[in-house]
Amino acid sequence: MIKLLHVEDDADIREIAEMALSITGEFEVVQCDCGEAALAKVADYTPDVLLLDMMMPGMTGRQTLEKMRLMPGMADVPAIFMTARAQHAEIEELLKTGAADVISKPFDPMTLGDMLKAAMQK
Amino acid sequence: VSHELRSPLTSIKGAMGLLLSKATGELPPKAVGMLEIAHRNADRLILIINDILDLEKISSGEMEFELQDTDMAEIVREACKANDMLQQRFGVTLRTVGCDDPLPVRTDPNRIIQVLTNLLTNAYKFSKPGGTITIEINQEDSQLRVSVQDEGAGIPASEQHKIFERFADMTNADRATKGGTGLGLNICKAIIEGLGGTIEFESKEGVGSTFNILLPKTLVLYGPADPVEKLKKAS
Repeated sequence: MIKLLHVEDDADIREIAEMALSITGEFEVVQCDCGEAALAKVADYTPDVLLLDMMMPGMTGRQTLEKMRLMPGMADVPAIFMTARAQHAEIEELLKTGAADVISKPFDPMTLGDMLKAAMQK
Repeated sequence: VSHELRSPLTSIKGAMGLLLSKATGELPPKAVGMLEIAHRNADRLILIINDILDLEKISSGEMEFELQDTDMAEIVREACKANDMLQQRFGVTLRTVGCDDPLPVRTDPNRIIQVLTNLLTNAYKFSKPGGTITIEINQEDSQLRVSVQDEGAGIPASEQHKIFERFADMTNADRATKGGTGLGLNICKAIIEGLGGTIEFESKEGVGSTFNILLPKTLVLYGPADPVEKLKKAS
């Protein structure tokens, strides 16, 4: 099972992602509703892959990832951003932070698992 | 704004997609039919929102142009490839002319592909099965002319003066059947003018339409003021 930490402030999107990934039978999904909660979680939980919403109250996905990278065992965990602001330059900017991929909203829940696995291979 | 609009759409489309994929179990056929209508219209809404967000960027001068020294022949080939599936869907043949040799140009390739995709999509939608669409590049002094020609229904003379206006190219009934947003040509015009070019068309009802893009081979944007003014005028 692939251990995924999904950080997303929108409860509906968390539920859809959780259901879509549970169907695949390949992911163990842990979810947090904000960057602060995610940082607390990774203190005692090391995921195989991170899925971070960009725009959240408090810390953005990018700020959350920057802080996570400094924590033990988190430096090389593949990270994927999810964003509604899908301009080409913004995607390029996010990829420069070391993200494995950027998924645009609205995403297709039925291909989310494949997108995460493909990003992990990069 | 994009976050506020796209997040609820993500939930709506995602939930319907999961229901249609039977993730929650089998549904009665009539319910599937209703869900398919809702899902299809959510897709239409996404296209409209994307276009409206583009127009908002154009109006506020926030549309980004990433200029590169690139090859127009390659851009055209990429646009054709990206829309290749439409050939089969509409039973129309696409041919390219003047795309064999590199044609250097300084422009934003992604925005040009966006424009060509829009013109090609329109050409396919309004072509008759068995027809041909021709996309051609010609060099004209310091400019490149890219033409998209179809053998479709053509634009009635009475409609031609407003073809680049927002929501002016089709009736609501046409949009529902053809799948357009009514904003595409307005966005195309704004992008091309933002890149220092012009877009025009010739059309005859029952014969077809040709959309011509003229772009400078070399473009320098002198800071944000120039393109913003151009884009504001265009929109």
